[in-house]
Amino acid sequence: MRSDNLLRRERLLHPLTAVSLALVILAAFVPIFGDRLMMNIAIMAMIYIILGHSWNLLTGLAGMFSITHALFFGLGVYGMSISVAKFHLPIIAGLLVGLLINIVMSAIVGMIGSKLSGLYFVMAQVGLSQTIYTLSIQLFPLTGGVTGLSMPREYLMDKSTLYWIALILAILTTLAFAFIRKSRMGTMFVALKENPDLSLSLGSNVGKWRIMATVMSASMASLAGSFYALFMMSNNPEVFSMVISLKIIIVVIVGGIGSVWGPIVGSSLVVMDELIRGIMPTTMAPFSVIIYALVLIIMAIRHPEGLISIGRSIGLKLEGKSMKKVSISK
Amino acid sequence: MFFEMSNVTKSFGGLVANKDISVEIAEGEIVGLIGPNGAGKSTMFKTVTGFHIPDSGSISFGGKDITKYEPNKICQVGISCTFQKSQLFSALTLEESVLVGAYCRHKRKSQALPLAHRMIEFVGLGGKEEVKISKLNMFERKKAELAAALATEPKLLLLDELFAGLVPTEVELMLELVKKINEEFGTALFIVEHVLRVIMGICTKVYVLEYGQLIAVGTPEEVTSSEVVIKAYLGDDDFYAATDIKS
Ligand SMILES: Nc1ncnc2c1ncn2[C@@H]1O[C@H](COP(=O)(O)OP(=O)(O)O)[C@@H](O)[C@H]1O
Ligand SMILES: [Mg+2]
Repeated sequence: MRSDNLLRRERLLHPLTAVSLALVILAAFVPIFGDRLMMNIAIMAMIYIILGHSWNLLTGLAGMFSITHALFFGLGVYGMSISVAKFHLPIIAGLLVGLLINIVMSAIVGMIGSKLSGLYFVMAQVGLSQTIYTLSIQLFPLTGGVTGLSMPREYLMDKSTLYWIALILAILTTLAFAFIRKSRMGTMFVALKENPDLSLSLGSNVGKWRIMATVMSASMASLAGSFYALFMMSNNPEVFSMVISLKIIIVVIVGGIGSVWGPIVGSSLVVMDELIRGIMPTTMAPFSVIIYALVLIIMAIRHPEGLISIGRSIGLKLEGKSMKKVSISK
Repeated sequence: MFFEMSNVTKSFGGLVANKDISVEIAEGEIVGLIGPNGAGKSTMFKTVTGFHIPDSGSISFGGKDITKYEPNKICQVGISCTFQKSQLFSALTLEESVLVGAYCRHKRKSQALPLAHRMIEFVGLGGKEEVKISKLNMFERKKAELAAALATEPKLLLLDELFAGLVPTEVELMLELVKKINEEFGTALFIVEHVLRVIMGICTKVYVLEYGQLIAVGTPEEVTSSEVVIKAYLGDDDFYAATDIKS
């Protein structure tokens, strides 16, 4: 029994060590060889990795379709920027304010999600998210309206510092996702997605777990948002936009939904998108969303399980496969 | 009384699926519930397990009125069930599936895991812990569902057509397993079954349901020789097969 547990722990760590290593290697390269543009791109990729894990937790594990995920991200942005620009609070306070607002908001979304399903849940989210978007424009004295707020210069950090913070956050959320997946919470999430009635009859408080999934997911997105505020040194209502929500969804679906690898693999899309934006005339930039839409459609038709499934089929030893091998040789 | 349904009625729109049902089960007892398809057996189980709230009547367990409890609360007080049409959790492994049940008793994984492993061993699926549910065959899946239900440490276990779709040799093995549950854990069992041999083999008391109403109750022998029951089952091959085996 004990060696059994050890084996399992090793297996849990193995892909994670690989991820951390890969990220650290990447990290070592970018600040040395990379220019500011490259670091910006890498930071955006990290932000989408964090957002991807966040969405993957709620939708990939707990099966609650989060369509306006940028809502949580945006609240994180505004929590930070308002605290800092309006009230001159320290960064850590901005982070906590964002988290707090997000916990309240996600508890509401989670409660709705534990009562309504499918289309009704989606509609409720769109309603909430539009309300917040409108408020962010209308509450001008607090939010800075359409143009947003600029954060004071003393909060400015240099690119490589921001880069390292993004990297650490991406690694931490990756580890958090993997840990949650194997913990009681993760098992309960997947169980309620797969079969809510059976979960209930086995004593799982399905409603509570749905709220928990939303709160955990929103907290992760909040982290990404608060960091984004520090990265951009400002806010604007576009952080709540559907384009961001869509990108988050596509990153995970293209990478592989439900898997810890999904957002990491899928974030390559963000890199591609940013590179293309770099060479495209600025007036064309908004059209880059078309690329996401096209990629999504192609993936849905050719590889519904995500890029990971391609990796598996050409023999890459990712999570699922290596696990199976170990259990057979046992 | 350990478990008691008193005058429970449940209707869906105009259809009365359960009418004025009263059932008593003693601690550790094995009780059967038979009746033609559509008689309302599954509805009765779903009412007990909190998925339906009865229109009238009450259900008590261990001295507590559990009529309006939510399904997860019912499980926590010690009633568990296996569903007639269950898909289990196809994306989870066997171990994780059984863990869902074990987490009903232990919040910490380090405590839930040994319980889950014990139940997996108990139903004879030891060694398959890491296998995905979707990779198990029908018989294994039924045993897996049983293991998950057992991991909630029930004092009363409801089995809704657990034996349906099993070949005769599997029925025998499952029967042994069900007996062992009762013997080792002292769990009371309430069994809905079409395979009457199962009912004959292990139940001490059998209720017969027809068109939502209880039409007979007694020992298996009494019930199968009762006029009303024979009439209710007229033309039912399962029934004749079972009585033939008995005689
Ligand atoms: N959720 C429901 N809504 C409406 N009618 C139902 C529902 N569940 C069961 N019924 C009806 O109640 C009757 C009893 O069904 P059921 O309890 O499944 O019977 P059994 O398990 O004895 O075969 C059937 O006529 C069935 O169609
Ligand atoms: Mg039935």
